[in-house]
Amino acid sequence: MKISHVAAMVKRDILINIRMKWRLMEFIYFPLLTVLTWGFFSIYMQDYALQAGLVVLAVNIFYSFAHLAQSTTNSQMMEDVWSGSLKQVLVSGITEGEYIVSRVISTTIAAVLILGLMFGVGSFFGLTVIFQHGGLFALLALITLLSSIALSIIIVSMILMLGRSYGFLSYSILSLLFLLSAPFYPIDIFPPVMQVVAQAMPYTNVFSGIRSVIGAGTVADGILINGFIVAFAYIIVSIPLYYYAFSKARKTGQLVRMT
Amino acid sequence: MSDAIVVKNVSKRFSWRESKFWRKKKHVQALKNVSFTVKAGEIFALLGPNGAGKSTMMNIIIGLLTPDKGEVFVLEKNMRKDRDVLGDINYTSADSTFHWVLNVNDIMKFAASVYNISSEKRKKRVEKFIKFFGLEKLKNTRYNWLSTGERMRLVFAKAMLNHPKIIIMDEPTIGLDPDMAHKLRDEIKRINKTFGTTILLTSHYMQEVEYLADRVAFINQGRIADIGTVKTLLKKSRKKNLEDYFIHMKERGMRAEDKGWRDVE
Repeated sequence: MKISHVAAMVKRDILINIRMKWRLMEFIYFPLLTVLTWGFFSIYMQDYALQAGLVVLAVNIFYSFAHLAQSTTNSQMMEDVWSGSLKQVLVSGITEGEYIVSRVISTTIAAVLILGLMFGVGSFFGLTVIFQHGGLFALLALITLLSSIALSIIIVSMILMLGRSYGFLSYSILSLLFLLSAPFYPIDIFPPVMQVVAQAMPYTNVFSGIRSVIGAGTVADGILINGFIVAFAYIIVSIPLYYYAFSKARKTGQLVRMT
Repeated sequence: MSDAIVVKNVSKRFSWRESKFWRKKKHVQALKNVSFTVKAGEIFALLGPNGAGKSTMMNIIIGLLTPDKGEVFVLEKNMRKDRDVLGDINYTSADSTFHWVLNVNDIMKFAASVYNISSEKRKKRVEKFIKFFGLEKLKNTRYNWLSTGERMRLVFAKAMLNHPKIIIMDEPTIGLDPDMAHKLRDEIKRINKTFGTTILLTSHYMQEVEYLADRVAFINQGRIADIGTVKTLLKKSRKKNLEDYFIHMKERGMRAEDKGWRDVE
């Protein structure tokens, strides 16, 4: 892996991110609207159950972060496909490894910046617990980031294997995982089969951790450890899957059809 | 003369299902035991009717497609195992496109960074080729605002950046006005003569191929049907020009297909 290749791709992605109005909407407009919508909701909830309002706000902030950290990598790839520039990128000598690593780096930079912005705006709505327990929230954010990176690599792999018409996976999978990750309630609420599924979801421990910090001011070590174990399991699955998908796409001609 | 590209017994079959996933797979043999060599410093043209297998061959050479059988060596490197060689070659095609929000300067700078051109040389070289291809006034113009001709000039400017040993050109002058196409052909010839750059091209303009190519391979139904210099091919087929030769070879291929030459299941 050549650092110069990765750096060139990251620079290219940053340029594209800055110039694309659509990307600015994704980075600023939607995350801000999310914080404002649920921020006002949490103010209203102060009269009834302060913590419930803050949990809803914090979970939505983390969901926006997870969505950005996953979908940006995928939309960058889909834009290369739609613009037809994927061929020029690949024939210039960018390897599949460099291609995905650079996308993950540029996505991480953007997602972390936006998370900071959302936390900042969230604090005006009483979400100061983020700063009181900064270390715990940082760990939860790291689990979210790792999970989203793994998920984005898995989705890229699926699109490579199934073809460009499956680009909708970039935007749809996370909503399903959000539901299955028991965002606002413990997984005990689910029927037994769904509980098993929920335990394998990458964000279940994150949401459970958020509820725990806001409710009790702490998170059990088990939640954090499980969170990291699940996130790393996804990462471990995603990397060989990605290389396999690229190799398969080269064999079947799917890569050519996408360029 | 050493070999720039060696294609050894390459076969490629595509399989797909039409609409329903439970339907039986269909297959087409896109290439079958294709072998040819492009010598260093020559202009080699791959000719053939639509669907003959030219693009499949090109995609295998640039590493976007893996052959089922056989090997491709580019500058003595096996494309299956060592794609680093892509840094020493370049590729242009009529459908070469770049991201729509990037401008000419961004695209050239990105390519220069990928091709590991040192930072001192990078700026000079980008400016040199921007000027050479008459793109100075368009430096800050975004890709989607460029005309077809300007886009092709950009593709060529980008293709020259790394001083490639080989340029692979898929339909290099398609979509260009006659004047631009003429200039580009002269440019291709000049690049080849001045820098000794090997050029592998496909084209449907027979006059272009006659003007440019040192040698030609005629590919039909996924097989190399004929190979040689333009002069030899015309002499052998007793045709006056490459256009007549092309029609003759295509018809011969169709007769062969009637006899079940191509494997389509």
